[in-house]
Amino acid sequence: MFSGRPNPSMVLSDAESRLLIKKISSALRKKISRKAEPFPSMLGYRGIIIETFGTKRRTDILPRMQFTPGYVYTHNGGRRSDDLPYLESFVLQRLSSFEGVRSIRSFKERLKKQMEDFHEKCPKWRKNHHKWYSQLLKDFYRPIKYKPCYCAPLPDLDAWNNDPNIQWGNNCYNYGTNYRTDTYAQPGYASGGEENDLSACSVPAGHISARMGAENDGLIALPSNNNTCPAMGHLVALVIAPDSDYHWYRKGRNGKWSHKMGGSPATILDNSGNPITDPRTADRGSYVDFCTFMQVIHGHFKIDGPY
Amino acid sequence: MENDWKVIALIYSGKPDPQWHLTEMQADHFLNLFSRAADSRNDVVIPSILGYKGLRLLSHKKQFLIYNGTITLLEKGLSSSKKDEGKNIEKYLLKTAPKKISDLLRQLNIL
Repeated sequence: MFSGRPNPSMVLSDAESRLLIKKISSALRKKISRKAEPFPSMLGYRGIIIETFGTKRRTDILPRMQFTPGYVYTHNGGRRSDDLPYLESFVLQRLSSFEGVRSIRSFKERLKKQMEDFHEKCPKWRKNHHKWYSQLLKDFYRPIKYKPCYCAPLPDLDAWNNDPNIQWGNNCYNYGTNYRTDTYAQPGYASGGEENDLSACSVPAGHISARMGAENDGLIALPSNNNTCPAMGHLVALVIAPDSDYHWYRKGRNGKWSHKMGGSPATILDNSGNPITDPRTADRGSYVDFCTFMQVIHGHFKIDGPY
Repeated sequence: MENDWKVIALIYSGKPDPQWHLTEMQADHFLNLFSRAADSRNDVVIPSILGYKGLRLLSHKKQFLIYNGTITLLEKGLSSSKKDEGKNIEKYLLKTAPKKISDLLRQLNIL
């Protein structure tokens, strides 16, 4: 019934297990149905799972069975089964055996309500699934003709500048990757491969450049990119003040560049106060070496810092 | 902790900025200079530029921002500012940096 937390569970006694197996074994003897309805991937209660464990397991009982209206799903497919109503009443009579349930009464009310909703909505969900899922899936994977920087961060300067703790605790790397840590993130710090050589974009073997540190964190170098948004995530640009520091710019959803200098407020202007159309040509002060554009794919990287 | 004063030179964008601690005598001298300075109507605005962006002076309960002839004290959510004539107070704080940091400040033409 949960999506993030572990599901509520109970361990059955040997006697109870025998009773249950007797009831469900006829369904498990049935052949896998090629025309089985899709498993209802719905939020909330979505059936009952029976798992077997221990050293003396019966070989005719599969290790994991998920019962839904009309079907039971195992590792190798779905079979017809009308056992769910029996299993639900079996469970509702034994709620005190559930682990981690604080109030049996409220849990029972909630569970019964969710069971009713599920039985009502599951047929509709399956009907809609038949109706348009294959088309939706096709659309989902179709190359998108999107506006530039469709997946890039929205303009959100205030979110970085209005709270002193956020402003001072997040630097150009945080802002560039759009990942607030409040720890002054450093390239490679989260992955254990922190940069240790800022002499240039390319460093001698055995040293770790800012680019390599960022790659260790999960960013992807796009050396041949020409200021265009990647298909996934967003574009950032890495520059170096040789032997001193590094700096990041990010391209927003509107296609415009912005950046944040250490603990200073994030801004859309370069060092001359001009808008940044391309970080390669912007006034970058002492950050004279343009290293590379990089791709930040949300959910595919991790950053952190020393504070 | 009450008397621990930390100076941060706002220089970098990515790397953590260089920082050092003031002795009790240095902190007292700074507070004395600040109390004697003339009031300013304007608060310090830390600039959004690459390069040197001023100093931050932190103690347990107070924070001072020092930049371009103004010093702003931030305390309990309130701010008050003083003029730093000739940037003398900023220069004084920069001179309290240990050798390694003062070498860096010289190299960057800040000191």
